[in-house]
Amino acid sequence: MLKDRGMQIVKAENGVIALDILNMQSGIDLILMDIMMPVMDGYEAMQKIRAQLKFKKLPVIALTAKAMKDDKQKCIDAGANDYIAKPVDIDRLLSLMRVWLSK
Amino acid sequence: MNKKPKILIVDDRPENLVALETVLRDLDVELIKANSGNEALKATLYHDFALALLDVQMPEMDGYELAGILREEEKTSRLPFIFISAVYTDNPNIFKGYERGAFSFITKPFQPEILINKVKFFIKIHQQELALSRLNEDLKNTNTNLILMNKELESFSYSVSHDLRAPLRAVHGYAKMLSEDYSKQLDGEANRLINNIMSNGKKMGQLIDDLLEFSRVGRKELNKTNVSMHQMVTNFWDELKNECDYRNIEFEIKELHSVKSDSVAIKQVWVNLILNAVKYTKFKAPAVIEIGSEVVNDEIVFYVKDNGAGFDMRYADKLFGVFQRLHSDDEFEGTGVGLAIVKRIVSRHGGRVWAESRLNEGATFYFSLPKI
Repeated sequence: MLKDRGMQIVKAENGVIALDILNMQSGIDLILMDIMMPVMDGYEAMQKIRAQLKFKKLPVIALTAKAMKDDKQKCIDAGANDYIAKPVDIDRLLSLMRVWLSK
Repeated sequence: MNKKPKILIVDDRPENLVALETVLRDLDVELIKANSGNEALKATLYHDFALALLDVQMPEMDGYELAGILREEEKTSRLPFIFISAVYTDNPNIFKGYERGAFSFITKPFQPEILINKVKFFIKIHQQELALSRLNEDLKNTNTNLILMNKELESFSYSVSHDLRAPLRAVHGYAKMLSEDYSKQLDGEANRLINNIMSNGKKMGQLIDDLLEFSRVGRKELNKTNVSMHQMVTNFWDELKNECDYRNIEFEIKELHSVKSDSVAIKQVWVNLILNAVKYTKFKAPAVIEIGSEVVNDEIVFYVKDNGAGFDMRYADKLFGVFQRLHSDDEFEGTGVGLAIVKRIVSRHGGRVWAESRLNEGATFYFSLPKI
């Protein structure tokens, strides 16, 4: 869906891979981060990303499961710019991306 | 800094030096004695003199020769002299080349009062010169500081405006999400408030964009080429007139002189002035806009004349300042940066901007560029 709107997508299966990709590949403008992942979950991955100076301002939108209310605050605390509940409302996601992709 | 002024006295005869010393002893000055031209030159290496009293008749190097050499040296080129001579001369050739500094002439035997007065006079001039050069130095420093501070301010306002954009876009974006996704759940008043947030966010965005543009205009290098103003204005109007075909506008382009200038920047000047003319004539039918130029002395003066709302001439000097608006936003929308941009571009080209108007009868905006 995002590809159809002219975005280039780089996929990572978990937080460890995400961090590797971030450090190897430049030009990433925004991260969509699922929270529930094996090996390294979204919270830890976001904290590791924010710990690096060059990614201080990189927009991160977290994907959370609808039921977990506390998780939303945990996302923000971990460094997410905002979160969106699954299942993802694509129009809402696009609006959020528009906000955070500003340069 | 309150050192006594130093006076160089040069005479080959010790008794003359003593006599001069006696005459001048009541003055608050320091006397440095030399009994030959060479010694006098040596003394100038170690001291900064306010005045030199030179005996004219001396062996080896006479007073005129010495004065000539002193004038050649950078350090003493402006040192004032008083020549003391037993022989009076009115031959102007003798004094040729001394004009760079003050000088005077006194004959022996001299009256002590006359010498004292002359010396006092020269010392006073010297002190004034010193004070003046100190003031000049201060002024230069202040100027350098100002230029530096201006540059800092410039880059500061640029980064401020730049950094304001991102959070503003968030404000606007989230308000938009609210209105798109929740408008049915919210009542009319809540929706009105959200719309207010959005429209103000938009306005602030426009302000920031204009400020950034204003800042850019001040920093960008000018790339001057020969610009056909006639072509530029005609092309712009061709683009613009489609957008205002619902309006009744009589647009006349008279002869426009070409000028060596930065075409991108000058286009901005025209765009701003013409859009202004179009904007402020929106209540007139027909709107009449006339554009022309004429050569006045060593400048080319361009003008954009309209029959629109005009302004009160009492506020004419405010027009070109940033965020200065003479009309309310409800009447004529705008951020108040356009004319400031115009002024900045024109000033950077070495030109001037001004405007004439009568309220409700129209306005004429002028800018001049140097004729090359």
